[in-house]
Amino acid sequence: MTVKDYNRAVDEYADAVYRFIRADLRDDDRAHDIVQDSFEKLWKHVAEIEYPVVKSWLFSTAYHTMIDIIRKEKRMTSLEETMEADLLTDSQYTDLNEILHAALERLPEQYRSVVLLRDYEGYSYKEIGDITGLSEAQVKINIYRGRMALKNYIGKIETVI
Amino acid sequence: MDPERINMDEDEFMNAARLRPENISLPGKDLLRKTPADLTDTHIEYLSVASLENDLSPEQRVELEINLRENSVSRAVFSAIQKTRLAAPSVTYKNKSSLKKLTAGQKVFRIVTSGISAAAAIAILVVSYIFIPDLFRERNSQIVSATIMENVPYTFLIEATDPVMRIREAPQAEEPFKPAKEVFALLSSVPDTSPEPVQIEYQTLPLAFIPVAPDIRYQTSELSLLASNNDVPPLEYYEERGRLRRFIASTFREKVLGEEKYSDDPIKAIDIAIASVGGLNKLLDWNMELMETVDEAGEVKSVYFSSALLTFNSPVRKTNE
Repeated sequence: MTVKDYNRAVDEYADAVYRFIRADLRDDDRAHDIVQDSFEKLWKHVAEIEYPVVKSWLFSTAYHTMIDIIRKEKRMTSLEETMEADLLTDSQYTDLNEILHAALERLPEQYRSVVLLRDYEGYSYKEIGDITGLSEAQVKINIYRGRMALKNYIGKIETVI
Repeated sequence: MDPERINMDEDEFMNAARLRPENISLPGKDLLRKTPADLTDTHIEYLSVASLENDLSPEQRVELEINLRENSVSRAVFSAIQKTRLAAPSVTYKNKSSLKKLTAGQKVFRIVTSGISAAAAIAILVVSYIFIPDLFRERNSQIVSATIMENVPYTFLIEATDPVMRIREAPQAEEPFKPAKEVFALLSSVPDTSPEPVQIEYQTLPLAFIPVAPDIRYQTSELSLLASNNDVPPLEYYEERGRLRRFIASTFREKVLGEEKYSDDPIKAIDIAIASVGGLNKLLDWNMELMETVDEAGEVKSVYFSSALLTFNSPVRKTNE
């Protein structure tokens, strides 16, 4: 990849990687740092990486950096813990997308990432598997579980509203 | 014995020894059959998610549609799952430009243009200084006053470095020898070749206006009030920097330092240093940082610098002056 390709990658993918990490991590500053770090790593390997794979390389690098951070902070939570939390206090949402993003925050990380990659970026199961290191079957089941959790959350919120 | 014959015999033997199933069928087998209407809630959820992901086979799609037509609960589940598609927010990464790298050609171009720009700016300043000196002259003046006693001579010993001070003009006093009557004498900074201190005596002026420095010791690069036979309290301070200097200061603060609030306060050495560090960072892709830290009173406490090679936090010493 050339410097020109690298800068093109910045133009085309920095926003998407940032959007993904920000939504997943729910922390602007850290999302900035992770994007910065991912592009620094890309720059170090710029000669080895071909442009066609750079998008999934960036998402994969950013994803694993984020997972490292989450593991360090022991923020991995179980579905049971998260879905029970604060249901009744969230009735201020007016927009379905807002409700979904609020629900997303309560999803365990392994479901949240795959749903985000699927919905934000339209990645296939295989591509999501390449990024996250999961098998296609695991991706599929995680998306299914994530969707069901979101659906249940919407149902509860609608009941409250 | 013929080996082929031996193999044939073995095959016949094995066929004869093979068990054959009875030709019976399960009674009530039809009871096990299902229709799309029999799909459970879990099936519907699974198929609904697969439908959302565009992951249904044509047969599964047909069965799901049949079930949905006949089952209102399934339709509700299907509808709820279709709502779980997230829409990406329109956020952008602010620091994109900081991620970009310069090609060798771009680096050379940037250095050359920076050099040319700096040279042009210096040339403009030099030419302006030579041909429009008033723009650069700093005229710090402070009005001091004193009330004289009748018929007591007033003496101010004033030292000036460059230029030397002398009386420019003294308006005529109406009643110069009576106390409490105000008449004026104006000292103005005008070039003079004499480097010696000038002694000025006021014998007839009850009130004198004398330009002195902004600080309370009457010190400037231009003049010093060395001695007086009367108490001369400072009244007001007027800063009269040249327009160009104020313009340069305000432009530097706005464009280079990125200050949002307008200010043409004089540029300090630390401001130039901070701007230089920022410029080097941009030019060479370095990651240095230079900043002032202030205390609760807003006074500069220390100067912090960090780079890949060196980091320090130097406290600022305060003087009594």
